[in-house]
Amino acid sequence: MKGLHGLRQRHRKEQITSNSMRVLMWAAVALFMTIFLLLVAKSSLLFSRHSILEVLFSSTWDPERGAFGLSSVILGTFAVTVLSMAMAIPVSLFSAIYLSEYAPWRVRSIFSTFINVLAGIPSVVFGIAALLVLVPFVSESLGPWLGVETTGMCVFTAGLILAIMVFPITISLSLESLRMLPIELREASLSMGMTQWETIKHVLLKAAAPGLISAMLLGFGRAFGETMAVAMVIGGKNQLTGLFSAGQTMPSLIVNSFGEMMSIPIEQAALIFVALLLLIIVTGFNILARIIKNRLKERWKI
Amino acid sequence: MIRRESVKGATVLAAVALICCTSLCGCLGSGDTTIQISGAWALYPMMVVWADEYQRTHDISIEVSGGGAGKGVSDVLNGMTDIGMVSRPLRSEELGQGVFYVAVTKDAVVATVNKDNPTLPAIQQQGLSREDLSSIFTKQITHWGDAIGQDLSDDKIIVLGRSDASGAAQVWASYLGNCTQSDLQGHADANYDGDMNLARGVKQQKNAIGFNNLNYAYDIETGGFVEEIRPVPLDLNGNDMLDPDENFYTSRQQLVENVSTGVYPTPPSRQEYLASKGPFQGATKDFVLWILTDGQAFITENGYVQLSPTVLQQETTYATTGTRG
Repeated sequence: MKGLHGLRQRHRKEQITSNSMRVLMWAAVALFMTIFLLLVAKSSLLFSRHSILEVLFSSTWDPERGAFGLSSVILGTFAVTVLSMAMAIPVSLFSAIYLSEYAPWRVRSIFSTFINVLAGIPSVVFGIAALLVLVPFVSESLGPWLGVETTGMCVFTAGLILAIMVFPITISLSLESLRMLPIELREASLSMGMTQWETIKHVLLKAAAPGLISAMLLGFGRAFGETMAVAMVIGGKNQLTGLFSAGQTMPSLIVNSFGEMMSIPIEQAALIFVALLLLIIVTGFNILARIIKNRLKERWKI
Repeated sequence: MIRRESVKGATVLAAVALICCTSLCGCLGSGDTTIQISGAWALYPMMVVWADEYQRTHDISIEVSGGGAGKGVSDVLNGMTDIGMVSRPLRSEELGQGVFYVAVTKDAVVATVNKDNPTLPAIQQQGLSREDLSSIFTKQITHWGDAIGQDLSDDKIIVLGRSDASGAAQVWASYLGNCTQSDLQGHADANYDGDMNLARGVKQQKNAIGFNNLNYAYDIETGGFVEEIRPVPLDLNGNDMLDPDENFYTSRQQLVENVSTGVYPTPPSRQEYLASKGPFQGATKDFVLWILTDGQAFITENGYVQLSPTVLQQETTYATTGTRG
């Protein structure tokens, strides 16, 4: 009897725990949907007076004059992010290859710990470092060397600090997908007479491609939504006139204006629409990363 | 063993219950004697001093937070706070939603340049007129030499501004005329987050010009110039000469007096306001009236400028009657 009672009790416990986990899971999903719907509802006022095409494709953002064009800010966001990925991808790919294939295990373990610590540094710290080091570097060394006049508060500096900020993510995810490849792949290739570099180029990079590409796309998403560090060095100008001129990204626009623009409903709606757009784009990239990963996995049957 | 565990559990439970109770009582008990304040960062340091002093002599608790002028107004409209701090003129859309306000102190924005500016001696002799500054900040004049009529080299003006939406930038834009903060940002070579970073930008670049609140344009301790920053004197009558009655920039004290009397114009000096939804009432009204009377004693030592006696008298009347005019 006691045994049966115990079983029943354990069974009930099992049910309670699995049910509560299910509830928590759905709560997380519901939270996301709530945020999404809230942003939609709160930004709808903007479209009672402006068309969505006007908001997306006009380039003048001047709330005091009732102009809410976002195109240069959207372009600015892409410019900064693409720039940062152009710098981050080669560096993180080659670091990951070195750490995975060439480095002794001791170096690898020290480095991956170090990289994971880097990933935990708050972005405002990166922002301060950028303001104190990168801004003077770009205005006093890089700018004159390239023959451009710049204050250092510019799109390029923002891209540079973003590249530094996404390294930890892209390196550790790339490293992980390279390390996950079976040792037999390497052995088979080397035994066919390929050199180590040929093995990496023709076998490992292809086999790890799904993981590598999704690592880069996740890095892209991270860079796209990064706020504080960018806002501190990009120069806060709602136009895109060049790499070495001040610019603006969607997150920096939000953080720069939110406190001031809360009291007037239409301005608040416009700013909330920027947030909604940002949410849609970043979510889109994360979904894309996942789809690509699955497609490639399918194709290479790993 | 089991007993000890459960005793421990009970103690923790009791402690939690006690904390909940006291905090709840605290909330309920002080419900009508807590004044909630939020809003402009520009007025925040002053408000913290006022709140401390007032709480010392009155049985009341005051909570002050920042967030920006717009948040201050939106919070009072939503009924989340009792007072909103606003560091720029109230906008018509805000007044249309039933905002009441009184001015409590003044502050001033001044143009600032680097001490190694090639034309600084000339600027300090002639001053710059509103038209000069407007041309500089909108990039119609791009070289310092052109601004004061000299032929110089390596004198390309670097225009700096604020990236965060701020009362100071709006006030400076409205002084220049036919200009918004967005325009300023658009013409600028770089925009900085906050007064302090903007001041640092001016310090670092010899051809830079920016605009700062009094507290960043002068040293708050000594009242003299800040290391590399020099305020730009305004040529008020536009005669390309800094007349004796226009020359009051060597110390903070001198400038403050001229802001207070209104010789330094508004804008770029500005009144700072307290806003509420409808007239101030009850404990909040007492506090606002205290700020307008006894509270004025703390203004100068904290780097702000007193309203002139007539304006102060008028604002006190507004706060008492709950209507402006």
